[in-house]
Amino acid sequence: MTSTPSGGRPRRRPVLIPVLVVLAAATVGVSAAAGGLKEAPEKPPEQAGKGAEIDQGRMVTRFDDAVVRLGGKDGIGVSDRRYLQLVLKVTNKSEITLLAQMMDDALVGVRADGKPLDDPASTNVTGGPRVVAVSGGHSYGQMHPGVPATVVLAYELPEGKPPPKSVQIDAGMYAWAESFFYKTHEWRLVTTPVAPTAEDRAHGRQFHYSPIVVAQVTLPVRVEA
Amino acid sequence: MSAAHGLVPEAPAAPLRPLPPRRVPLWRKIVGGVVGIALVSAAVYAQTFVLTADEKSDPLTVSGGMHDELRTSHFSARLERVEFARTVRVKKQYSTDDAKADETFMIVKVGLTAPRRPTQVTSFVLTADGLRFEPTDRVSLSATLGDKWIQPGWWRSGLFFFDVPADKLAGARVVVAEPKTLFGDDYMPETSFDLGFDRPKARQMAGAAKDVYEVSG
Amino acid sequence: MSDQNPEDTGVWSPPAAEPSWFTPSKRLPRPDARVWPPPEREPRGSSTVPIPVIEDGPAPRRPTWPPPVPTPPAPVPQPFTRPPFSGPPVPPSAAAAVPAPPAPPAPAAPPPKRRRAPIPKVAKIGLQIAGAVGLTAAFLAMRGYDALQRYEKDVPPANVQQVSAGQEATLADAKWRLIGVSTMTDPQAAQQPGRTMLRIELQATPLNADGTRFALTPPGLYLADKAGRTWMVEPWKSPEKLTPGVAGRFTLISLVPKEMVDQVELTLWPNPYLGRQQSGDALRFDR
Repeated sequence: MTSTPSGGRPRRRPVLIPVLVVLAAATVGVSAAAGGLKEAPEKPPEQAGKGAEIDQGRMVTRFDDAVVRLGGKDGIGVSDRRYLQLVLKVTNKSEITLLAQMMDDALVGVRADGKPLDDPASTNVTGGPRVVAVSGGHSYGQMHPGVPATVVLAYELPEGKPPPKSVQIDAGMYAWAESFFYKTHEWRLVTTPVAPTAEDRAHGRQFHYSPIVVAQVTLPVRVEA
Repeated sequence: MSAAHGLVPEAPAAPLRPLPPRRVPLWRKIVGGVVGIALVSAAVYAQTFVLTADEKSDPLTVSGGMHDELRTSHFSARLERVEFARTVRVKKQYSTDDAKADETFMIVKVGLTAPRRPTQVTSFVLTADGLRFEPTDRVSLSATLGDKWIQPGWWRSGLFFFDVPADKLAGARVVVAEPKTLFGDDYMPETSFDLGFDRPKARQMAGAAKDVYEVSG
Repeated sequence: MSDQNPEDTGVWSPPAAEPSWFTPSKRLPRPDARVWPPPEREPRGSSTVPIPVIEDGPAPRRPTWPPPVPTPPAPVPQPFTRPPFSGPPVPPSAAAAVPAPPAPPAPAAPPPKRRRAPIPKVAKIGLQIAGAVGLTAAFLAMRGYDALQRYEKDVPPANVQQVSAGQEATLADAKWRLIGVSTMTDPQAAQQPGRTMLRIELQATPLNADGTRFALTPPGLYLADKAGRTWMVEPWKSPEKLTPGVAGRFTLISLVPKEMVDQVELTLWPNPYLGRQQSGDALRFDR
């Protein structure tokens, strides 16, 4: 089949392949110029201050105040101890009544002057704050759907130490996620793999999942007499 | 077997008579195609009836209105009364607790009995837009039906207290169900009562709320 | 003369070609002929020229084919009917034309393949539907059986031992004896008419150290009537401490409908969880 087909029509030039080659080269070039195929660095969490309103998926949280006061008021704590109280206005956006205690999970990290507050090794025996929904001078435990509730996270402060100057709160993000195994849906904190800790390495893990932080809220701490 | 057999061309009969080419008329082809497509579509459509994993753990609901006696295999329930109050005063043996609502408490009186075995129930309000309000924790559980046992042979009446904004009560339902266990059983029964509220009625009822509702517990 | 099966063209015909109702497809043996290797020498007397018309009837091997009417023009190949053994199949009138074999007809050395008669269309569809229904039922039954097996593994069915009045019975590391059931005045009787409070005395003798746990966690106790309804039984007084071999006494309280007072019987399960499930071994005390 060496002879050209009769008819003498000029052979068509192969256009498609050069075009594809050029496109592929352009794709590679542009990707390389944009930093390669590595995962884009995550957006740094939004920085916010007092009064900021953060959408956490399952709830919208307004960060109203951080105050150090003696216990006893609003049914929180005992009157001879000092508590760092984070005062939030939380609107439950899910379809079901939630317990206020879950705000401890929703705020994935709370630091006072850079030191973690809900550290299990802290002086607080429960290893975390007491979280209540305050209404009319009493503390309760529920956040009803669509109803804004005043939620207070109370951290007991060690005695004889000066109160912190400021707190930094990492707000996590919830998503209505499907369970891999059961295929049912539930609200879950959105996580991302991060560098392994020493413990992870000991278990042979290359990374571990840590909740993402959508906003970092810095509140000045005021001390109530 | 003999010449006779050989003579009679019985077996070659089949090969010798070629099958007439099966002519399928066009209309039958079309009908067959349409029927096939219809069957396939029906099969695909039937897949939409398959319950999702979430739906599989849904309870079996018996619905009714006020004063209807709704029977399930685990309990029977009837909604006896709905009232509103701004404060609920719980009189205990040695103390009195006042619970104040954000707006008003909806106080639901439910009568219950069990057909076979003792059981316990809980309740929640399901609003028209699907929000689920658990009974308020401002009123202690001991004043409600939530910690009482329902037994066969007699009806037991009790209260549930809800802190629901009045504007969410239009079209709301009160659901009585057995509390979910950790490893939830499937097909748990529940009863769902239509309160029969529209917006003006809910507002009017909540507006006419009592100041104080006393209950022992 | 030749043993060759007249059907044997040398080409293997797939069994699927059996024109039977359960054949999934209508594929038929092709009416082809063996070309290579060349067919055996043809039986004498056979011929490739047009077969002479046989006037008077069908082949002697099919003596009872219905009147020699030309075979109905069926779309499928002529199935072979099984010659029914109804009497000596004397060919009706073929004897003249073809020398009929003597009495036992056609003892063909290789019996010709028997093909089933076609099943009427209605019966065929009916059978298909019945098959589908049967298979579905079998599938559902299997699933139900499996689910039941798994459920019964989790929640073993109740195995209740009836204990006659005043007797002692062993269950879960202890011996149990019902001492008595008596009515009590119900403090809330006014609010709850139609009910009676019962006071039940139960004696427990631990058999070993494990049996002493009942002082802390009472067993699962219910009052039950014949119809299977049950009522709560709450321990009112439990023994402070149980020691193996020493009888301890429980005082129990229960509320039952008035009319059931004389009929209810105490049932005892090893623990409250099994009592709620009504599963496993249990004792039921006659009164």
